[in-house]
Amino acid sequence: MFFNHSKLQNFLKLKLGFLILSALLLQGHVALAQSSNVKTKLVLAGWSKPITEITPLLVDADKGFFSARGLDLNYVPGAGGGDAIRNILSGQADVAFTDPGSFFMALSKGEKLVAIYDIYPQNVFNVVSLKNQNIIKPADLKGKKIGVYSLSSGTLQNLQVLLHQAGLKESDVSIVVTGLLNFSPLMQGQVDATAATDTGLLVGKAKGLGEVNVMEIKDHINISSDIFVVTQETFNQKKDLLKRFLLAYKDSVQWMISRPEEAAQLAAKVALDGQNPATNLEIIKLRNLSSVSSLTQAQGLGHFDVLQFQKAADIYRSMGIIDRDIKAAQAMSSELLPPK
Amino acid sequence: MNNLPPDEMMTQPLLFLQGVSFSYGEKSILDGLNWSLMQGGFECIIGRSGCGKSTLLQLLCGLTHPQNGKISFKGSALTKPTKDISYVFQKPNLLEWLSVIDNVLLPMKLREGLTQRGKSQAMNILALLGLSAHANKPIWQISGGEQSRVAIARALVSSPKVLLLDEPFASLDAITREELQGELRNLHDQLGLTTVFVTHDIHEAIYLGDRVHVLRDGHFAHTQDIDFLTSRKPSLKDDAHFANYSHILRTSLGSKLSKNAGAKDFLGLSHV
Amino acid sequence: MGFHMFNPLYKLFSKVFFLVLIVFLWELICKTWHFSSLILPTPLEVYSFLLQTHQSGMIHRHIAQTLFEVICGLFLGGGIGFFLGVFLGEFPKLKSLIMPYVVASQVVPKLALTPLFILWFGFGTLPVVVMTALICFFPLLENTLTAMEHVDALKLQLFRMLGASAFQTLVWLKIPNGAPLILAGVRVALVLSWVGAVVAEFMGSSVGLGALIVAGQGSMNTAMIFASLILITCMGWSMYAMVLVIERHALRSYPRGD
Repeated sequence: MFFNHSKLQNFLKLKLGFLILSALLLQGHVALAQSSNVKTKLVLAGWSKPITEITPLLVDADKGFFSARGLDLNYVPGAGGGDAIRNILSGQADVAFTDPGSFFMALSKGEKLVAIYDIYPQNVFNVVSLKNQNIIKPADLKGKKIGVYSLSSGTLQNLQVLLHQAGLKESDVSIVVTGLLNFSPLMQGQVDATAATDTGLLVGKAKGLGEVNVMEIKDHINISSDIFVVTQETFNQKKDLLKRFLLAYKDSVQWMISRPEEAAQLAAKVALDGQNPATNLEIIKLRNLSSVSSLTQAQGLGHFDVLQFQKAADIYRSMGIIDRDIKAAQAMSSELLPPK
Repeated sequence: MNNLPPDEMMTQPLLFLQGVSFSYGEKSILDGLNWSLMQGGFECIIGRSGCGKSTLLQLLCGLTHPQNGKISFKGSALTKPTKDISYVFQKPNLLEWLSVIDNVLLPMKLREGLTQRGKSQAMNILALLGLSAHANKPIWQISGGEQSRVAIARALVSSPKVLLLDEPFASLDAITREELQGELRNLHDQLGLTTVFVTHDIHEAIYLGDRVHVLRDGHFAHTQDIDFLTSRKPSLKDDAHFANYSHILRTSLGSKLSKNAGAKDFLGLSHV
Repeated sequence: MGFHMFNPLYKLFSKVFFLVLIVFLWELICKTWHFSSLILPTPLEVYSFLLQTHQSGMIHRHIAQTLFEVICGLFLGGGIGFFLGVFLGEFPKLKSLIMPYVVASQVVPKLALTPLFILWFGFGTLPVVVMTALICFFPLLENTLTAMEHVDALKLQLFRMLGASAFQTLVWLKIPNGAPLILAGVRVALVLSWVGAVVAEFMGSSVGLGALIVAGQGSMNTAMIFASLILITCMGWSMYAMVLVIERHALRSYPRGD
C-alpha cells in the first residue's frame, strides 16, 4: 500500500457511511413494522414483559387468532398495571391490560376510561409469608416489611384491600418494591411478607420456597384480577377494531383452555420465562382457572360483574385510595363483548 | 561554480527586500532591512539568539508580512507561500505516522495530488540524498542525520527555486554535520538552487556561503563576501583566510573575544 | 522480530487454563456451600440454559436485538461525537458556546432518562439506540476535540508553509495525528455502549439480553441472568478485541511510546 492516507480517507468515508446506514436501517425497521397494509395495527400495553401468563397474546405468529381478524397485534411491556394505563393515556397503546385498582385510580384523577372486557374474573392476588413469621390474618401485617411487584402494580392495590380489612393503613407497614413475580426477597428473608399472585407463588415453590402462610384476597373480596381498558376516545372511534380484538382474544383464551399442553410448548418459544414446559403448563392451568366464573359460564367470556366492581370502588373510596365516588357502571361497557 | 544556463543569470535579484520592518507588538525585530538575493547565490545569515533570524525566514517564505517595506520574489510582491520557495526547519519536523517516501511526497500531495511522475521524482530526490534504501521505512526507524536528509528531500521534491534553511544541522553530531554540509553544497550546485542558510555557527556560515550577512539590531550590520580560490573541502577550515573571515564576522557580531584583536589580525597576519 | 517460538502459543494456553480454573472454582464454591440456584447457579445450570435456548433458537433473537442496538448506538453516537469534535476543533468560538450544554447532558444520569425516552421514542429498539448513542457520544467528542487541539505547532506551521487549506490540514495532519487518541475514545465508547443498551432495555424492551435479565428476576431464573451476563461479557469483549486488532493495523506505522 503506497499511502495509508487514502486508507484514512476510506475509513472516514466508511464511518460516515455507517452513520447514514444505521440511521436508514432504523428508519426502515420502523417503516417495515408499520407497512402491513393488509392488517390493522393494534397496540396492547401490558403489566409485564412477554411472559407465559399472557400466552394468548403471544402466539399470533403460530395460531393466527388475531391475524385471522385482520389485526396486527403489537405488545408493549410494563412493570405493573399502572404502566399499562399510562401507555394508553400517552397514546402509545390502544388497549391496556390492567388491574381494577389502577383503573379506579386513573378514573378518580379524572381520566376518561372505559373497561371493555373482564380478563380474569377470579382474584388471583395473595399475600405470602414464611411459616415462621406467623402471619395468619391481615392484622398480623402491622409493622411488617411487605414486598410488592411494583408501585404501579395490582399487588399493591390488593394488598391495600387486605390492610383495610384489618383497619390498617399503608403507613402501618413498610412497602418494598421487589420486581415483577420476584419471590427472592421473601425466600431470603429480606421482606417479612410479599404481596403477589398465584403464578408467582407457584414458581416460587418450584424454586425452593419453603413452608408458607398464604392469605388470599379473594377470601375478602373477589374483585377481578385484570381487565382490558381503553380511553373514551378510542372506545368511540375504534369500536369495530376493538370488537375484532376481543373476539380474537376470546378465541385465543378458549384455545389455551382446551389445549393447555400445546400452549405450554409454544410458551417455551415465545415467552421470556418459558424455558420449562412443565412449569409453563402449571401457570397456564392457573390462568385458565382464573379466566372463568359462573358468570362467564352463563353469559360468555369477558362479562363483568358490575356489582362486584362497584363494591371494590366503594372500598377503595373508603380507604382513601381514590378520592371520588365512582359509578362503576358508567365506566364499564359490555357493548363490545363477543357473543357467547 | 554554478552550472546554470546563461539566460538564467539575470541582473534582477530573485528576492528583493527593501526597508523591511517587523515587530511583535512593542518589540521591534527587524528594522529597515535591505537585501538583494541574486539567482544562484548561497548566502548565510548569522546572528545572536533572538536576533530575528527565524522571523526573517518566515517573511522570506511568505508566511508573515512586514509592517513596513516590501518583499518581492521574481519581480512581484510576495504575499503567500509558494512552491518555488521551500523551507527546512530546525528539527526535521516529519510526520511520524508516514514512511520516508510519504513524507517526501507531502508537498506534492497537498498542492497537486499524487502522480506516477511525482513518485519517480521523489525516488530521484531520495537517491540524490542517499536514502533510497530507506524509502518505505517509518521515519522513527532512521537516525537523526537521515531524518534531516528526509526533511531536505521534502523541501526539494517540488523543484523549488529558493531553499531556506533554519539551522538544520544544529542538533547533529560533528561528523554527520560535516557530511551534510558537503552534501547540501553539492545539491545547491547540482540543482542550481538559490540558498539561504541561517546558522549560529560562524565557521559553518563561512564554509558554506558565498556571502555571509550579520544580522544585528534588526538589519544586516555587515555583509561579507567569501572567496576561496580552491573548492570547498573540510580541510578548508584550516586555511588562513578562513580564520580571517571568522575574525571579521565575530567582531561584527560584537563578540567580547575580539577585544584583544590588534591591527595584525585584520591583515590576516595573526599567525606571524 | 525475535519472538520466542513458544510465546503466542504459551499465552493462549495460559489464558484458556485460567478460564477453566475459574469455572472449576465456581463449581467448587457451589458444591461446598450448597447455594440455592437462586443465589448462585452452577456452571452446568448456566451451560444447560445456554444449550437449550441455543437449540430452540430462542436466545438468538435476543442476542441479535441487543447486538443491533449496540452497533447502531455506537456508530450513531460515536459518529456524531467524532464529527462534532472535529467541527468544534475547527471553530473554537462555537466550542465555548456549545460545550456547557454538552457537559450538562452528560452529567444528567442518562439511564434515568429511559422513561422519558420511552415517552418520546416509543417502546422497543429506538429508545435503546438513542440512549446508547447518547452514552457513546461523549468519549468520542472529548477525545476527538482534545486531539484536534493538541497538534504540534511546528507541524501546523509546516502545513501553512505548504499552502494547505484548513480541510487538508484537518484530513492529513490533525486526524492522523490524533488517531491514537480518537481510537482510545472508540474503545471507551464501545465498553459503555453495552452498559447503556442492556440497562436501557430493562424498562421498555420485550426482546434483548436486558429484557431477559428482568424476566429472569421475575421468574427467579438466576441461571438465565447469569447466562445473559456471560453472553454480554463475551460479545463486549469480542468487539473490544476486534477494535484492538483494527487499531493495531491502523496505527502500525505510528511510533510506540517507548
